[in-house]
Amino acid sequence: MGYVAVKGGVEAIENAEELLKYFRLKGGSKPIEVKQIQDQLRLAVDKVMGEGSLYAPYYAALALKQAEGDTIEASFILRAYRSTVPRNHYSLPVDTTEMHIIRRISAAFKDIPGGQVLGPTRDYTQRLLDFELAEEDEERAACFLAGFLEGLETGAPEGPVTFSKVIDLLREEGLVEEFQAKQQDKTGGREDSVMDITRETTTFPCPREGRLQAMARGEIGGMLAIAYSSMRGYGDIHPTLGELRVGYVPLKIPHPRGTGELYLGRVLVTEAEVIARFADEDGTPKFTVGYGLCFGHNELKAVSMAILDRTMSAVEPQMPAEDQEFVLSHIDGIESSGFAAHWKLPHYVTFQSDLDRLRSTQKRKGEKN
Amino acid sequence: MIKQIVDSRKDKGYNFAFIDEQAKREIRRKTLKAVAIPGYQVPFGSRELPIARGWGTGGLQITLSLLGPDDVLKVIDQGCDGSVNAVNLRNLVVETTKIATTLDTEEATIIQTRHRIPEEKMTGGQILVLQVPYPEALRIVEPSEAKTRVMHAEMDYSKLWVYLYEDIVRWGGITIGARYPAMVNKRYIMDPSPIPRWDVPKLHMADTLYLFGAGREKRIYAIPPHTEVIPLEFEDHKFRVEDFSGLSCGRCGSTSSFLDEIFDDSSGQKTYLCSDTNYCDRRLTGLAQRKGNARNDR
Amino acid sequence: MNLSVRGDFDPVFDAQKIFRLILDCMARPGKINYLLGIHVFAEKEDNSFYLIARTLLDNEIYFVCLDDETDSLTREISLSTGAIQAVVEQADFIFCDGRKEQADLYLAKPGTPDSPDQGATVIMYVDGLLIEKPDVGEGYATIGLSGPGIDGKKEIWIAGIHHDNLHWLALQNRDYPLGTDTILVDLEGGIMCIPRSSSVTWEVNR
Repeated sequence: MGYVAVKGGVEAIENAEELLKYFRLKGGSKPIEVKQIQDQLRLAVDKVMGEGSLYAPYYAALALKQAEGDTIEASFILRAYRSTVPRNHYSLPVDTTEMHIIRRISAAFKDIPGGQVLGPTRDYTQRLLDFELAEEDEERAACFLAGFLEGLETGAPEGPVTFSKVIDLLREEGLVEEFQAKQQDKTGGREDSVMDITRETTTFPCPREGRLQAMARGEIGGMLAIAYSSMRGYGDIHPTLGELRVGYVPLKIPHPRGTGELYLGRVLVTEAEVIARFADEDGTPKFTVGYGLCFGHNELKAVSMAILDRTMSAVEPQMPAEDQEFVLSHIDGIESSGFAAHWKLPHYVTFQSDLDRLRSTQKRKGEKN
Repeated sequence: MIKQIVDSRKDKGYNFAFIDEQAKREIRRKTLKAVAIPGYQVPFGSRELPIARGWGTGGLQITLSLLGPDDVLKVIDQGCDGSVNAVNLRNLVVETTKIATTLDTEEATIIQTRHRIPEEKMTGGQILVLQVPYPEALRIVEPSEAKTRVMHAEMDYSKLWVYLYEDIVRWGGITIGARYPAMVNKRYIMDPSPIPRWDVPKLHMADTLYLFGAGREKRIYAIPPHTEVIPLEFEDHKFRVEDFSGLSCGRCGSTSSFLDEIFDDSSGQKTYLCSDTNYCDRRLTGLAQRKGNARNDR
Repeated sequence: MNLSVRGDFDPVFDAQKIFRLILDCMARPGKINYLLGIHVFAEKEDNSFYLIARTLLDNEIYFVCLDDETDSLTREISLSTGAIQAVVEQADFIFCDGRKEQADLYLAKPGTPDSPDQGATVIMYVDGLLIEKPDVGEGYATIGLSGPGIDGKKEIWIAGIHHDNLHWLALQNRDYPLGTDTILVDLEGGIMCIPRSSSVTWEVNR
């Protein structure tokens, strides 16, 4: 009792791992293929890539399988994997007007140049349990695909499909604030001095690029909750969704040998721009803007991020959502879940110490009474 | 193609001590600054590890940046080498370094620990790495990191003193159990990690270098050997360690070590056992130092 | 802890050993350890500088070599570590020859009150670091150290150090915790640290 031999600890860990495997497989169904997760649990994969901070759909799907569908756990696995991968190149900034769009909407205007593109969305679908899905099999799926694609042009579009952004239209009219140039070169001379939250410690106030990076890998539940607090009344930014885009953007790096650019491939991202209440920092009242961008198709996250980007630009934070330190210190799912889980570790030494304090306080109080 | 990548990854080893050299260099630079400014929390770019945040990643990153092939490592949690978390951390280190480990406090060159300092007095040749959940001793009186940094800069510790004073008014004594704040080198108040008060005096004028790592909160701090570490106290309310008077270890009989209180299923009685399992084992085999760090002066 | 005699630098294991030697010295001001065995440069000064640079510097770091007329050391450090050459006011690491007057050391950054760790690290070359008082007749300085890492008080002796640099060393931490941390290296590959937490007194013996 009390004493666990080291060997015992090792065995216990091994047994726990075996049991996990058993619980995953004990139903006797066919082992799920990673490819199936990647294809059919698309949104879970995207969430894991975002929070795991690594664009790797297959690995994200593998992590989801390993974590039995727990997205926080899967994100953690992917994040840990990420830290072992060398960073060989820095990509060039992505221009999202070059996005190959699968969905694009604006809540600010009825019609926008290029048109509203509803794309794959459940927004206007009745949330009824779909019992037909229970019967879905390979034959039906193939049949659907053939029918769906029949008569559609599926080839690549000729030339780039680019849409100007709603925000840019407003900006041209002088109705929206300009992008803030980088305030100062804090490192004193290095040209490429974009803060990197994976390499530098975040201190507050945190530059905007650091805030956006932290949110891009933030946990959706935490971000949604804080953004929601602001929308509900703990804050006052009155957002209008200027534009929400989902699509593929090209990734390029400077050519490692010589000049020019090298195209590496494309990544799916969701981008949101919210237009918020106006301010007159430079004398002229203009709408302010919040920006959100994350890996994969994750609209709630992009919108929450855009709202928090705007709330955190408050000069004098009053509400939780406006306080950079409050928001950024609490939205990382890997950190929050790790710490919440750590209470499961033994704390009997600290508890013994607390017991000692309580007993001595009780004794003191008893003597007094 | 993906299959090839997966296969290659399965066979591919990791860097010695897992984390990459650039990350180690940063931790090393920050560790040196931490040693040069005792008790001051140095921010560092804490990396992700395959161990959850909050489970010792700060201590582990320091340990991994210290370790070389000649080291002998001991890992303890709650004073015990066999605790599952200690085993898990030790496994990761061994898998990625193949270095020797020990359960023996005396044999170790580096000891990573959670919540305890070994009972036996550590030597100048050893380094103790402590895992830290909350590096900021002022957090109980000020939630904002931006503000606590200013408080440290200005050495403005009045809020904490008031907190302790109010504790005495309300409860008749200071109620802090573990994580008892201490003043380091007359300059910084620091959180000694959740060690019991029993262990706090071991930090004062020790022979050993103590390094503290908080992975989630991304801070490293240190107490060099022979450094003044004074637990906060008032003239009329002195710092006191836990009271085990009249109790002894049910296994080795020690009356001078930190004891865990244990409910015995079969007898329904409370019994006490040494929290430091190696100390307890060594006493049983007669190896423990006669005059160790374990005290009788309670 | 001996380092093997080689002409190259192992970025994993040599860096680890050298870091541990420096850490031991930083935790015990006045203690001398030896960076034996790896000879990348014929010049002993440059060799010790190089080993420390390879251990601690990379592309996140600004550094400067004071009085490096030929620029050869600067170039070598920059090439082999990726560290960025900077002016002394910005440098995280400052390499200098302590035998000459180094007035620029007064420009070294001391950190800020809420981030004193931003203070620079100075790596200074001297002729000899000695734990015993040298024979009478030689020029040397007696250094008294006290503070964290030192059991009571400690005396050490330094041969071949410009007195103005001693003056700087004793004053650089007057606004503690602001200040700089110094790693002294000598002809024999000896290293010794004087962090800002140490109180320094000095006296010149001729």
